[in-house]
Amino acid sequence: MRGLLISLFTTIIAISISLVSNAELNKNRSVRTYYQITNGLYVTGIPVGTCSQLSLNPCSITYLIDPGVVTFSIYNPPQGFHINSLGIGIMEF
Amino acid sequence: METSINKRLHFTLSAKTKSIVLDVITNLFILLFVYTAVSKIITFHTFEVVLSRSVLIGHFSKIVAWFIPAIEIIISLLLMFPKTKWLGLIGSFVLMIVFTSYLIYMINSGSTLTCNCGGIIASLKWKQHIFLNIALIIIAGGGIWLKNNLRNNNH
Repeated sequence: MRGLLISLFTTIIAISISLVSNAELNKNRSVRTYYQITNGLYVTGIPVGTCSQLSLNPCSITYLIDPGVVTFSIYNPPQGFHINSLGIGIMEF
Repeated sequence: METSINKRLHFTLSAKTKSIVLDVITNLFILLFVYTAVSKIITFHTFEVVLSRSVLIGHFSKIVAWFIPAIEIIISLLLMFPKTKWLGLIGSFVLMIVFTSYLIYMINSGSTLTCNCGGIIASLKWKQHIFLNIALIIIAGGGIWLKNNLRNNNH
Protein backbone atom coordinates (compact mmCIF):
# COMPACT_ATOMS: atom_id res chain seq x y z
CA MET A 1 0.00 0.00 0.00
CA ARG A 2 2.83 2.38 0.92
CA GLY A 3 4.65 1.45 -2.31
CA LEU A 4 1.53 2.18 -4.35
CA LEU A 5 1.14 5.60 -2.72
CA ILE A 6 4.77 6.44 -3.50
CA SER A 7 4.20 5.35 -7.13
CA LEU A 8 1.11 7.54 -7.38
CA PHE A 9 3.04 10.45 -5.93
CA THR A 10 5.83 9.83 -8.49
CA THR A 11 3.22 9.80 -11.27
CA ILE A 12 1.80 13.15 -10.14
CA ILE A 13 5.32 14.61 -10.01
CA ALA A 14 6.10 13.24 -13.52
CA ILE A 15 2.91 14.73 -14.97
CA SER A 16 3.60 18.07 -13.29
CA ILE A 17 7.23 18.23 -14.51
CA SER A 18 6.12 17.28 -18.01
CA LEU A 19 3.40 19.95 -18.11
CA VAL A 20 5.70 22.62 -16.66
CA SER A 21 8.76 21.82 -18.82
CA ASN A 22 6.73 21.65 -22.04
CA ALA A 23 4.91 24.85 -21.18
CA GLU A 24 8.28 26.48 -20.38
CA LEU A 25 9.61 25.55 -23.80
CA ASN A 26 6.69 27.26 -25.50
CA LYS A 27 6.54 30.20 -23.11
CA ASN A 28 6.20 33.61 -24.74
CA ARG A 29 6.36 31.94 -28.10
CA SER A 30 3.65 31.56 -30.60
CA VAL A 31 4.74 28.90 -33.03
CA ARG A 32 3.08 27.96 -36.22
CA THR A 33 4.31 24.95 -38.12
CA TYR A 34 4.71 25.04 -41.86
CA TYR A 35 5.33 22.11 -44.13
CA GLN A 36 7.26 22.19 -47.33
CA ILE A 37 5.45 21.20 -50.49
CA THR A 38 6.74 21.08 -54.04
CA ASN A 39 8.51 24.04 -55.60
CA GLY A 40 9.93 25.18 -52.27
CA LEU A 41 6.60 26.46 -51.01
CA TYR A 42 5.63 26.19 -47.36
CA VAL A 43 2.08 25.88 -46.17
CA THR A 44 0.23 25.52 -42.89
CA GLY A 45 -1.62 22.32 -42.12
CA ILE A 46 -0.52 18.73 -42.62
CA PRO A 47 0.19 18.06 -46.29
CA VAL A 48 -1.70 15.08 -47.64
CA GLY A 49 0.73 12.90 -49.52
CA THR A 50 4.01 11.15 -49.13
CA CYS A 51 7.61 12.22 -49.35
CA SER A 52 8.94 12.08 -52.89
CA GLN A 53 12.23 10.85 -51.45
CA LEU A 54 12.47 9.85 -47.82
CA SER A 55 16.18 10.66 -47.74
CA LEU A 56 15.49 14.31 -48.52
CA ASN A 57 15.68 16.75 -45.66
CA PRO A 58 13.42 18.68 -45.64
CA CYS A 59 11.14 16.13 -47.16
CA SER A 60 9.34 17.47 -50.20
CA ILE A 61 5.65 16.58 -50.08
CA THR A 62 3.22 16.97 -52.90
CA TYR A 63 -0.17 18.31 -51.93
CA LEU A 64 -2.94 16.07 -53.14
CA ILE A 65 -5.66 18.33 -51.77
CA ASP A 66 -5.63 22.06 -52.33
CA PRO A 67 -5.00 23.41 -48.83
CA GLY A 68 -6.48 26.78 -49.71
CA VAL A 69 -3.93 28.63 -47.64
CA VAL A 70 -1.46 31.34 -48.48
CA THR A 71 1.94 29.97 -49.39
CA PHE A 72 5.27 31.67 -49.73
CA SER A 73 8.55 30.85 -51.36
CA ILE A 74 11.41 29.64 -49.20
CA TYR A 75 13.58 32.11 -51.11
CA ASN A 76 11.48 35.00 -49.88
CA PRO A 77 10.33 33.98 -46.41
CA PRO A 78 8.46 36.36 -44.12
CA GLN A 79 10.10 37.69 -40.94
CA GLY A 80 10.35 35.14 -38.12
CA PHE A 81 10.43 32.15 -40.43
CA HIS A 82 13.13 29.52 -40.19
CA ILE A 83 13.58 25.82 -40.79
CA ASN A 84 14.27 23.78 -37.68
CA SER A 85 16.59 20.78 -37.36
CA LEU A 86 13.75 18.46 -38.36
CA GLY A 87 13.31 20.25 -41.66
CA ILE A 88 9.99 21.69 -40.56
CA GLY A 89 9.34 25.33 -41.32
CA ILE A 90 8.62 27.29 -38.17
CA MET A 91 7.11 30.74 -37.94
CA GLU A 92 7.72 32.55 -34.67
CA PHE A 93 5.95 35.81 -33.97
CA MET B 1 40.62 -18.76 5.92
CA GLU B 2 38.32 -19.90 3.14
CA THR B 3 35.31 -18.55 4.97
CA SER B 4 36.86 -15.12 5.37
CA ILE B 5 37.71 -14.97 1.64
CA ASN B 6 34.15 -15.96 0.77
CA LYS B 7 32.82 -13.28 3.07
CA ARG B 8 34.94 -10.70 1.32
CA LEU B 9 33.96 -11.86 -2.16
CA HIS B 10 30.23 -12.07 -1.59
CA PHE B 11 28.81 -8.61 -1.46
CA THR B 12 25.45 -9.07 0.15
CA LEU B 13 22.59 -6.70 0.65
CA SER B 14 19.88 -7.16 3.22
CA ALA B 15 16.37 -7.88 1.97
CA LYS B 16 15.24 -4.46 3.20
CA THR B 17 18.01 -2.67 1.27
CA LYS B 18 17.20 -4.68 -1.86
CA SER B 19 13.54 -3.78 -1.49
CA ILE B 20 14.37 -0.06 -1.14
CA VAL B 21 16.70 -0.13 -4.18
CA LEU B 22 13.97 -1.94 -6.16
CA ASP B 23 11.43 0.73 -5.17
CA VAL B 24 13.83 3.47 -6.29
CA ILE B 25 14.34 1.72 -9.66
CA THR B 26 10.63 1.18 -10.31
CA ASN B 27 9.80 4.77 -9.37
CA LEU B 28 12.61 6.03 -11.60
CA PHE B 29 11.03 4.22 -14.57
CA ILE B 30 7.53 5.40 -13.61
CA LEU B 31 8.88 8.97 -13.54
CA LEU B 32 10.63 8.52 -16.89
CA PHE B 33 7.76 6.82 -18.75
CA VAL B 34 4.96 9.02 -17.40
CA TYR B 35 7.04 12.13 -18.10
CA THR B 36 7.84 11.15 -21.70
CA ALA B 37 4.33 9.81 -22.39
CA VAL B 38 2.69 13.05 -21.21
CA SER B 39 5.22 15.10 -23.22
CA LYS B 40 4.38 13.09 -26.35
CA ILE B 41 0.64 13.48 -25.77
CA ILE B 42 0.97 17.25 -25.25
CA THR B 43 2.95 17.63 -28.48
CA PHE B 44 1.18 14.79 -30.25
CA HIS B 45 0.90 16.53 -33.61
CA THR B 46 4.63 17.30 -33.76
CA PHE B 47 5.46 13.82 -32.51
CA GLU B 48 3.42 12.24 -35.32
CA VAL B 49 5.06 14.47 -37.95
CA VAL B 50 8.51 13.61 -36.58
CA LEU B 51 7.76 9.87 -36.74
CA SER B 52 6.40 10.16 -40.27
CA ARG B 53 9.81 11.45 -41.32
CA SER B 54 11.58 8.35 -40.03
CA VAL B 55 12.72 5.90 -42.72
CA LEU B 56 11.92 2.89 -40.52
CA ILE B 57 8.56 4.02 -39.13
CA GLY B 58 7.30 6.23 -41.98
CA HIS B 59 3.93 4.84 -43.05
CA PHE B 60 3.10 3.47 -39.60
CA SER B 61 3.63 6.83 -37.91
CA LYS B 62 -0.02 7.21 -36.83
CA ILE B 63 -0.14 3.81 -35.13
CA VAL B 64 3.33 4.19 -33.60
CA ALA B 65 2.53 7.72 -32.36
CA TRP B 66 -0.32 6.25 -30.27
CA PHE B 67 1.45 3.00 -29.46
CA ILE B 68 4.58 4.49 -27.84
CA PRO B 69 2.89 6.69 -25.17
CA ALA B 70 0.29 3.93 -24.62
CA ILE B 71 2.97 1.30 -23.95
CA GLU B 72 4.84 3.72 -21.67
CA ILE B 73 1.67 4.29 -19.62
CA ILE B 74 0.91 0.53 -19.50
CA ILE B 75 4.45 -0.24 -18.28
CA SER B 76 4.14 2.52 -15.64
CA LEU B 77 0.89 0.96 -14.41
CA LEU B 78 2.52 -2.50 -14.29
CA LEU B 79 5.39 -1.07 -12.23
CA MET B 80 2.99 0.38 -9.65
CA PHE B 81 1.52 -2.91 -8.41
CA PRO B 82 3.59 -5.54 -6.57
CA LYS B 83 2.03 -8.45 -8.51
CA THR B 84 2.87 -6.92 -11.93
CA LYS B 85 6.14 -5.19 -10.99
CA TRP B 86 8.30 -7.95 -12.49
CA LEU B 87 6.40 -7.72 -15.81
CA GLY B 88 6.80 -3.93 -15.70
CA LEU B 89 10.56 -4.26 -15.21
CA ILE B 90 10.80 -6.71 -18.12
CA GLY B 91 8.74 -4.27 -20.21
CA SER B 92 11.04 -1.38 -19.26
CA PHE B 93 14.12 -3.45 -20.12
CA VAL B 94 12.74 -4.53 -23.51
CA LEU B 95 11.42 -1.05 -24.42
CA MET B 96 14.78 0.57 -23.62
CA ILE B 97 16.62 -2.08 -25.68
CA VAL B 98 14.25 -1.55 -28.64
CA PHE B 99 14.56 2.23 -28.43
CA THR B 100 18.37 2.14 -28.09
CA SER B 101 18.68 -0.30 -31.00
CA TYR B 102 16.55 2.02 -33.11
CA LEU B 103 18.78 4.98 -32.20
CA ILE B 104 22.01 3.09 -32.92
CA TYR B 105 20.61 1.82 -36.25
CA MET B 106 19.50 5.30 -37.28
CA ILE B 107 22.87 6.86 -36.38
CA ASN B 108 24.88 4.14 -38.15
CA SER B 109 22.67 4.10 -41.25
CA GLY B 110 23.21 7.83 -41.71
CA SER B 111 19.47 8.45 -41.77
CA THR B 112 18.02 11.78 -40.82
CA LEU B 113 17.46 11.51 -37.09
CA THR B 114 14.37 13.04 -35.72
CA CYS B 115 13.55 13.19 -32.05
CA ASN B 116 10.54 14.30 -30.14
CA CYS B 117 11.67 12.88 -26.85
CA GLY B 118 9.84 15.48 -24.85
CA GLY B 119 10.91 18.27 -22.56
CA ILE B 120 14.36 18.02 -20.99
CA ILE B 121 15.39 14.79 -22.75
CA ALA B 122 14.99 16.49 -26.15
CA SER B 123 17.95 18.75 -25.30
CA LEU B 124 20.32 15.75 -25.14
CA LYS B 125 22.69 15.02 -28.01
CA TRP B 126 22.30 11.64 -29.70
CA LYS B 127 25.41 10.12 -28.10
CA GLN B 128 24.33 11.37 -24.67
CA HIS B 129 20.90 9.92 -25.37
CA ILE B 130 22.43 6.51 -26.14
CA PHE B 131 24.58 6.60 -22.98
CA LEU B 132 21.50 7.51 -20.91
CA ASN B 133 19.57 4.64 -22.49
CA ILE B 134 22.38 2.15 -21.87
CA ALA B 135 22.51 3.26 -18.22
CA LEU B 136 18.73 2.77 -17.99
CA ILE B 137 18.99 -0.71 -19.56
CA ILE B 138 21.57 -1.67 -16.91
CA ILE B 139 19.35 -0.22 -14.16
CA ALA B 140 16.30 -2.13 -15.48
CA GLY B 141 18.41 -5.31 -15.62
CA GLY B 142 19.49 -4.68 -12.03
CA GLY B 143 15.84 -4.25 -11.06
CA ILE B 144 14.90 -7.58 -12.63
CA TRP B 145 17.78 -9.28 -10.81
CA LEU B 146 16.73 -7.72 -7.49
CA LYS B 147 13.09 -8.70 -8.00
CA ASN B 148 14.05 -12.30 -8.82
CA ASN B 149 16.43 -12.38 -5.86
CA LEU B 150 13.77 -11.12 -3.44
CA ARG B 151 11.23 -13.57 -4.83
CA ASN B 152 13.63 -16.52 -4.43
CA ASN B 153 14.43 -15.49 -0.85
CA ASN B 154 10.73 -15.37 0.03
CA HIS B 155 10.13 -18.94 -1.21
